[in-house]
Amino acid sequence: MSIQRLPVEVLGHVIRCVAYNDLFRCLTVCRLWSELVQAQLYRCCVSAVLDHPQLFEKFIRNRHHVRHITLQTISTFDSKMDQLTQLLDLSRPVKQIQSGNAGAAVEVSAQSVITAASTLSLQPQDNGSAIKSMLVEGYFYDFPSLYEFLPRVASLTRLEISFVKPFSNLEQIPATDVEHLQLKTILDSLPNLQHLSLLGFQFQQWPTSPEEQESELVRKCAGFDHLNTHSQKAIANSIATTAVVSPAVAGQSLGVYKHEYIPRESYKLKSLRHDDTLLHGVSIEALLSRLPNLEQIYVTTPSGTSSGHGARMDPLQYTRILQRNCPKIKDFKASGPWRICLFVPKLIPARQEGHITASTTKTWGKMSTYYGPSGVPIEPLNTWAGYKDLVEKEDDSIYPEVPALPLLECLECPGNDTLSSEDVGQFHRFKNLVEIDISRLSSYTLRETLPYRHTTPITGKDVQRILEDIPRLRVLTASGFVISWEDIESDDGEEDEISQVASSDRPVKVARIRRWSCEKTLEALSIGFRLPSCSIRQNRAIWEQIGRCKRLEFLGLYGSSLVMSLEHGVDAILELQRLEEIRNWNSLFPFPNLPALEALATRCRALKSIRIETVNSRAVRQCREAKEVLERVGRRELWKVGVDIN
Amino acid sequence: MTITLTSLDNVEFKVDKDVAERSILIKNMIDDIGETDAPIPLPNVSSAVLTKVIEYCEHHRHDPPQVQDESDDPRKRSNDIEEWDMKFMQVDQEMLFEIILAANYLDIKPLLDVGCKTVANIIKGKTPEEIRKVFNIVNDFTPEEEAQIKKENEWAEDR
Repeated sequence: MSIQRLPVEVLGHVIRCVAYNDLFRCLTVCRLWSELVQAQLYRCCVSAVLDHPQLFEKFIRNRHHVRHITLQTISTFDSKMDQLTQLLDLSRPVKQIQSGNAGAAVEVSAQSVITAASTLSLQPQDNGSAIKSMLVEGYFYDFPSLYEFLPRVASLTRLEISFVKPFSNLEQIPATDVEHLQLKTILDSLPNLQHLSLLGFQFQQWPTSPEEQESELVRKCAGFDHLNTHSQKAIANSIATTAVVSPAVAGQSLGVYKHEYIPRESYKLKSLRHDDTLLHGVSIEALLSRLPNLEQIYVTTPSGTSSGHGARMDPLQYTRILQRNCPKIKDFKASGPWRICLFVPKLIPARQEGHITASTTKTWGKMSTYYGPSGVPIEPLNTWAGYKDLVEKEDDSIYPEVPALPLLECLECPGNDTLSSEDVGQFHRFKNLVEIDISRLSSYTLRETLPYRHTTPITGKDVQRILEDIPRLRVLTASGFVISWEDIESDDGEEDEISQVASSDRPVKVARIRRWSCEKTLEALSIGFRLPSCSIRQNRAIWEQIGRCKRLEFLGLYGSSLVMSLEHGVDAILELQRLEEIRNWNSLFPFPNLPALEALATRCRALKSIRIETVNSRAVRQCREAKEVLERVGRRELWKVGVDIN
Repeated sequence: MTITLTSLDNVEFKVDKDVAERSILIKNMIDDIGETDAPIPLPNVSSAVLTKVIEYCEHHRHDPPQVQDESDDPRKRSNDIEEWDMKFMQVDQEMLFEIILAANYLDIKPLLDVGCKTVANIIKGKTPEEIRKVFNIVNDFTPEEEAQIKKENEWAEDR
């Protein structure tokens, strides 16, 4: 057995693992390798290539390898059309390429390179293009060109378009200047599309037929099917009285109608990223109801628009739309001030009822989604009155039997101040949940504009509960929260354990703590601990708990007093074979114990970085000493610090 | 629940179901035919290689299922081979490629990755001549072709 007997597809995989620096030297090993390396080199075409005529020529010659195109800071799409047409060879008539047989490509010789190439689908596919992904970013207005272009690259599986304003002009551009994208045109053009990211856009109204509008109404009724029958009827009645409804709809159980939807076109899309201002005058439901395969959703806030372009989506209503249209959602992420709302919050008004000001209503806008066919609005949830109404209807079913988005695996919502302690207590009911980010951020200022807030704020106790309750948790990011000793101390009344600690000659007593059920799966943890003293008894218990998380790759201990006791805990974490990064120990005392640091640097071979975000001036000397230690043991590269101390 | 696997040279291996199911090929087979006592033949894998593969699967039996990464860029984690895997891969070239081939056939993506990364690490820092020597590859380029290829792709040198 030798490398030459590997099937070409497997050899291709090997070449994909080769570091960039080594690729060029692999190029001249032999013909087959050369072909595979070039497939890597020309895989991705970036803007800079288009600007260099000679390099662009080379990409043209190797265009059959190009799979990804990145166009950044473009001002018009039109100006790139010629080059794209050349690069993707779109003017060429479609020709049938004979595909190779994977099994036949085992014996390698110079002649087999051609076969090999087609086995790896290095040749364009018969739709005229093999391009897989495209990223377009800039401040361009020639959308008709884009719409015209997309059907020619129907092989795309990933498309990212960002409408980015040139920084210098930011002042002159009015906030209302947001492009309205024809989403249907894009989706219809790209039948293979799986990942779509659209930033800086709002969408035009989804074109709907009258029959669909009728069906839309039924869908809305049925969407409330987790409410009790009484509420369902009430909602049905309210719709029947405010809108023109067919007699079949009125007076019958809503469940019946669930099966009477008019089938819609649906798209393969698996992941969607969009702005929270997406629904300006548009029904988000009209879009999401066409994306039944959606698994990942990522809501962002366009930068520089914290006050909003106008309407923002209401978080709870958005979750409900997802719930009834996209049952496969696994990842739900939001960054920026927009908040994910998974549960009907137990609310108190942020301001007194009746004092919702005009500006508040304006910021949160009217939900056009909930306009009936005759144009009569259904009560929106995005006012305090709307929420109150809903919460009263649902009374004790705030946490329904089946949680919204039951397949959820990843929940990322840093800065989410609508999530309550009670909500966190419900997390264990998402049976697949393995990644959670509930970091507390102080930078968001939208709090004031929310008409409601939750009743009980999250504390470190809730974070400890997540660690105890979710047995398969892999990632927990809870920066800004601090677990205190009372939260983690065991109350089972058992005696302390006796343990051997490297820093002590005699066996020491170690307190019993509430074990984390996720210790076998946890890969990344960001949290702070507050302990009343530097006693070995308490600190050691937590270090041992961290040491039991054998899969741990990332450990962030924000503002932790725990770090002060590193010398008593270091031997408990030296066995973490996967630990790659330790972050922000403690800015006042970054390295309280140099021998402990030395042990970490020499024993944890996977460790790549020890990072401190800010360093207090008093700690500078300590940092110098730490740096010297790392240099002495030959691991200077570990040293990463947010502030230069030299 | 144990599964019986039969290697190319007719050696039977009894392994736990969760260990066997690290192989997507076997997992799909079990899903298709249902649980059965009948041995699963693996006519492409010798007993020596299968022993190694099972050793790997047993060590990684509790790993979370592989996430399908669409971006398919294993390079960014090129050197990230964990210590156990590194030791596991300290075998002669013959066995290394046999393992890679078996991982590909049995569809054990993490093992395939570790194997390919191990090869990538062997390549690291070597000249073309050294690479040819270590893998016993014949240079089928003429000197002119070699120069031509280098010239065409010189932009990629020392990136």
